[in-house]
Amino acid sequence: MTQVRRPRVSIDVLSPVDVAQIFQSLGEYIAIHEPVLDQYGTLVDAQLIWCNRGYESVRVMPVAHMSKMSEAYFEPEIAIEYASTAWSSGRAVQLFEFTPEKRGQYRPPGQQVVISVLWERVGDYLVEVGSDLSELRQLETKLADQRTLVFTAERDKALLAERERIARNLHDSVIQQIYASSLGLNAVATRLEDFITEPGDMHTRLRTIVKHIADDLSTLIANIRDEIFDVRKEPKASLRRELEDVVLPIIGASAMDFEMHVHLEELNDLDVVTHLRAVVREAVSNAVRHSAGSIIRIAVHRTSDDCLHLVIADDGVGMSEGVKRSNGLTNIEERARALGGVAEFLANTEGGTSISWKVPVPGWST
Amino acid sequence: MTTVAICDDHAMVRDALAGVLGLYPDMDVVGVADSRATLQRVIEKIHPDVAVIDIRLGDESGIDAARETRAVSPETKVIMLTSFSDDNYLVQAHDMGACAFVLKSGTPDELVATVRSVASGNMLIEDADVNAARERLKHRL
Repeated sequence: MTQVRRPRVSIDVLSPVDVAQIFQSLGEYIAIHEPVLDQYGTLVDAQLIWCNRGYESVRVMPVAHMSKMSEAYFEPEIAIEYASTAWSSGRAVQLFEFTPEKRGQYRPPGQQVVISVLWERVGDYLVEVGSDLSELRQLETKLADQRTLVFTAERDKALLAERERIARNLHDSVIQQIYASSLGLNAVATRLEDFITEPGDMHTRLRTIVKHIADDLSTLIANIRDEIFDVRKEPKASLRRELEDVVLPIIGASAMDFEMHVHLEELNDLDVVTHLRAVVREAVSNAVRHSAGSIIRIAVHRTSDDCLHLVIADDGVGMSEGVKRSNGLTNIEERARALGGVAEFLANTEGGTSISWKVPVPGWST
Repeated sequence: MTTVAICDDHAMVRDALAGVLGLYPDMDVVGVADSRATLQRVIEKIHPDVAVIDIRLGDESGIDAARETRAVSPETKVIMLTSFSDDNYLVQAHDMGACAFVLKSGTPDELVATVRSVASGNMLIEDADVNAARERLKHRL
């Protein structure tokens, strides 16, 4: 029973030395055991007849040739059970974890090491091949982390879509009512000609007032719609593009020109960008409708005290006190206050109005 | 005289549309509907020159209502009315054979001008706009 035979892995093409060299070069640890059988041919123990450096390196105690599994292994009954299974059925796979209590016996190559041990019967010998799965475990952990990230991103995306849908439905209802009011006012403006027979200022003034209200309602619809789409907007390549996208549709329908000077490449604070877009839309829209000017100048820059400063100026007729307190301009003030900043409405010395909107940008001060 | 049918699920909008279009002596609002079924009855009976249909009819699709209108009365010109400019809507409206796509943010004058224009045979949905919308939709997928 103790007769030692050479492992059959050396057959034909490779010499035993070649096989040993190949085994030594592998990342896995490899050991070849000779079975110890009882009278019925059942494997009850095994003796080590060869091992590579990997096998030696994971064991604290020196590895002895012909040492028995029952004496050298930390949990011999478990190892022998796998070896016995492999002996009778050809193969067994064991997952071996270097738990803290095994640290006295084994020298794990890393912090958290799991080794997959393949027990394989090769002729009259048992080959034990251990593969370090710690890298695989790390990859699994990374994969799990990435899955969590993807899940979170997907959930956020779904929440955003749901919020947008609700906003759309709510605003849609408001838009319908405003649209109906706008149509109704237009009808009133048209019918005034039937009811007011005296020519002159009264008729013209009434018609102008009603027309203005109808136009304001149309602008309000457009603004509500644009603000809904702002919720889901992807950041543009530059702040200039962001603002041009807001300004061009409003200016394009008017006879006014515009100049824009943006002395910032990008602005990453989404909150500030959202408010900035809304303020520019409001201010430009007001200037187009009320200023009767020929040009709007827009300037954005970063101040020395890490604030964003927006100035929008027109060369129109200037603002009356009533206009200054209009809803749109109140919104501009409220948006500044919400970010801890200030908004001012100034009369230009050469005519027209300037709006100064200055807000701190949290990321810039750190 | 241009005969016009209106279909919108919002009562205020229906009434306002009928009120505005009714002001013009060259237009006659011959039917007002709040759903696909009601619109189809109007179309089958009157075969108006123009149908102004909201793209969203509550839970129903205005596009479907427009398609049914075109099937029953091919001579009726369809104008789709919408609160939102949307590439999907534009492409669907074009493919279904609508002549115009009008935003509710536009002025009533624009709507009146659109009704007159399509009634006289003009197609106001530009192929270039539809192709651009198709491209944008392709890249969004």
